[in-house]
Amino acid sequence: MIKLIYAELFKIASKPRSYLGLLAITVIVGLIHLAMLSDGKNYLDFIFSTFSQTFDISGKILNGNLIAFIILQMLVVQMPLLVAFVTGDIISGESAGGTLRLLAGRPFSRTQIFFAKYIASAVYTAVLILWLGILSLVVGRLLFGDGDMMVLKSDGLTVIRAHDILWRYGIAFLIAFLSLMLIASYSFCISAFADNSITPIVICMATIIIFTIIGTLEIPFFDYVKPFLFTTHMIVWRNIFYQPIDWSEITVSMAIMVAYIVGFTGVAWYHFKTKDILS
Amino acid sequence: MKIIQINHLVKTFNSFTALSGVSFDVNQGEIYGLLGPNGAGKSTTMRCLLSLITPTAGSIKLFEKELKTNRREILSKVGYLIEKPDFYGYLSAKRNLNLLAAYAGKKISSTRIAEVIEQVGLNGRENDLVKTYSHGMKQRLGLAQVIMHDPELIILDEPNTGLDPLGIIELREFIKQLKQQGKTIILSSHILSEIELIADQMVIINQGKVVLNGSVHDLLHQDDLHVVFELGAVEKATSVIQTSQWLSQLESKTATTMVFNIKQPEIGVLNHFFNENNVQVTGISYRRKLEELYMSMTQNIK
Amino acid sequence: MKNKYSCLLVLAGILIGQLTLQAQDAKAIVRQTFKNFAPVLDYSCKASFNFDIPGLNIDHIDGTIFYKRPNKFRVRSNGIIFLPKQNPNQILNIIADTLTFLPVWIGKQTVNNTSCDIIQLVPLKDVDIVAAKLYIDAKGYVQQAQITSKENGTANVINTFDATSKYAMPAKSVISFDMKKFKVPKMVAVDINSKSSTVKKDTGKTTGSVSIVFSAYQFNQKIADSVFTEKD
Repeated sequence: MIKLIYAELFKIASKPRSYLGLLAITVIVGLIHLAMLSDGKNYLDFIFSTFSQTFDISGKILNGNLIAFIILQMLVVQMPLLVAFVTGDIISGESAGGTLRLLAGRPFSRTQIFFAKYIASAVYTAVLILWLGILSLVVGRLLFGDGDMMVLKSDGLTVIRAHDILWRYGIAFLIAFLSLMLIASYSFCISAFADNSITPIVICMATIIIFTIIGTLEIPFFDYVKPFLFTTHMIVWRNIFYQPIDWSEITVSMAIMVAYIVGFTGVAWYHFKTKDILS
Repeated sequence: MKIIQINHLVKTFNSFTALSGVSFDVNQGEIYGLLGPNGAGKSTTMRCLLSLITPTAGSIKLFEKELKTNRREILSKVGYLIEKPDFYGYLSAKRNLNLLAAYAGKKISSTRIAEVIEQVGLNGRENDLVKTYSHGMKQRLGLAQVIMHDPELIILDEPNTGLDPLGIIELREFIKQLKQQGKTIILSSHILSEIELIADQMVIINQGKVVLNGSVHDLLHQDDLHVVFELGAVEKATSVIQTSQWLSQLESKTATTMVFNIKQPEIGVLNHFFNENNVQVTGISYRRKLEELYMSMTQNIK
Repeated sequence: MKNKYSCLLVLAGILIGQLTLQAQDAKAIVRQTFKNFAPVLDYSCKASFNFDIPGLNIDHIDGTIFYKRPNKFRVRSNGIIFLPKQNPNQILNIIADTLTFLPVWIGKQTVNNTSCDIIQLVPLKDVDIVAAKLYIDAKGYVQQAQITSKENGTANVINTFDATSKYAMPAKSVISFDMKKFKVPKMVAVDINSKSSTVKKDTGKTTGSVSIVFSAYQFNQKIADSVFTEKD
């Protein structure tokens, strides 16, 4: 099984499209850092303008911790796309390319092949989020330094002290990884049904966009629907930066995400295990 | 030992029945030909052998063991190439083989991989990306991945497709070599002559059913050809052959033609006989018996 | 009749005298207060900040305050500090600016268990501060100040002094101030699309407060101007 996982990782690492995600993150984060270096103060002045009218705010507001947070906020829609771009291709790409029949007639069972691919997808997702973390937080702190972080909520502002930040980012990235694994599982599931690479990516992104829009609409009817949308729970990593932290909300959302992951993976596995490979 | 035992194999896709009770056996060391028109069920049968498709009913035994319950053990002894040779185009041939070796279920050394690359004639190109390969080269690579783990059973689905005449000849020789090594091969082909030339046993499948099964030699009397002589005077030719050896080989005649079951070298002899006896021969043609057999078994598909 | 007028004249004289005395008292009181910190050309001190501001969730933090005549003021710390615009610096500036503000004595009141003169400082020019009321004790210490500005409403500063207080510098100040409703651009709010964003906690509070505990004052250390301008 280790051999299979390694083979799947090798395939992912050999495909040019796998690097598009890493390149995209590098470029986006680089551009944000550049923008912050040149105009970050004005940007923050705009964001915190409502507070500047009443207060003199002293201290290092523009720092690596805040910029990392801004980057994570900005990439909420892009990151799922970058994940789905690879994980949505893992089965359907082989089906379209004819290599699935090359593997499925080998001694390893469909279940073993499936989970080797799934684990490889998880590793790729982890690499993406790790890369994002390194660029946004590590490089950000190198460029802009450490400092307290101001987190704006719709009803006010929280200042998190510098010594209290890193562990929060650690947990936030773990939750973000879980969120992206949900997307990976979803696109992986569609990939098990599709015969081409584009369908899983398109369906995945369309779902995220529609769910996100529904989540934004403050119409009472949708309040009943929102708890069931996985996009509602995917952004729970932000709650780590509240004070006090509502651990129950985070735990519930994580449990729901795990349930979605298990559901999507289960459906994909069953279909892959039993489907006739005709391509 | 029976390497393949297929018993009443049925496969339906929604409302379409692809296989309706296919049964045949393949003995160890044989080359087994699978013939049939497009959509007959040949590929479906082969995919069932590899568990790419789950049969609706029936049983499959390979190496005298149930495929369903001994899949891993069985498939580690099988090499296959189904339809066109598809590989990971973004990898080189060598990397493709290394990758597929991981899925083979047994350890395959890099020496062995180098060996098969040379055996199929790809040495010198093994580090080039597969997407730069011609169809013939991909076919060779396909054969390399079939044999690299030294399987006992080889399944080839339309291996001649897209090959030039030289490629077809090379493939034929390759298959014969594999047989000499004691391997069992089952292959399907549209090129009837190839089956005729190399297969020991054959089955014709039509509309999901076996319509003919048996030894190629027995079915075809392979030494004999149906030779059609177009003659100026059929009655004169009839009287001429009455007292000759050729009478027993006369199969049929029309107003302008006579059809003989003779071997290829005898065509010239018979032609000379007619010329000596002043019977004008205006044309000679022959059709392989397999074509006739095939056509007769599959004509009713339309 | 003559006696009546005489009485009235005497009364008027006493009243005018009283008013004049009081006006002179107000100026004297303010002068005394100014005299207390007049020797201070600059100072720095350690400060410990605690915040009770609706809509802001900020933990305690320590920092250093720097002041230099006439109006340089800077707070430096390892973290972020929110100080209302009506900061302790303002009181000193108001008292020192005798050309802009006219002190008027308006009574007495006990503040912090201390009897204080209430001095209203009336602006003589059009400035941001429209009114300032100081509660000054017998020693010339400003026990309490209420400052009203056009931009920021009213801030109330209550000072506490202890035995170590020098130059009338407080040991503790609690600044209470009016709060404006914060308008957060929706797209930058972290709880957009969040489940909890639909529940808005309105505490009904409209004033906030910041308490500052001062310690380790250092006076006249010739603080460089760059301390007030260099980046954090």
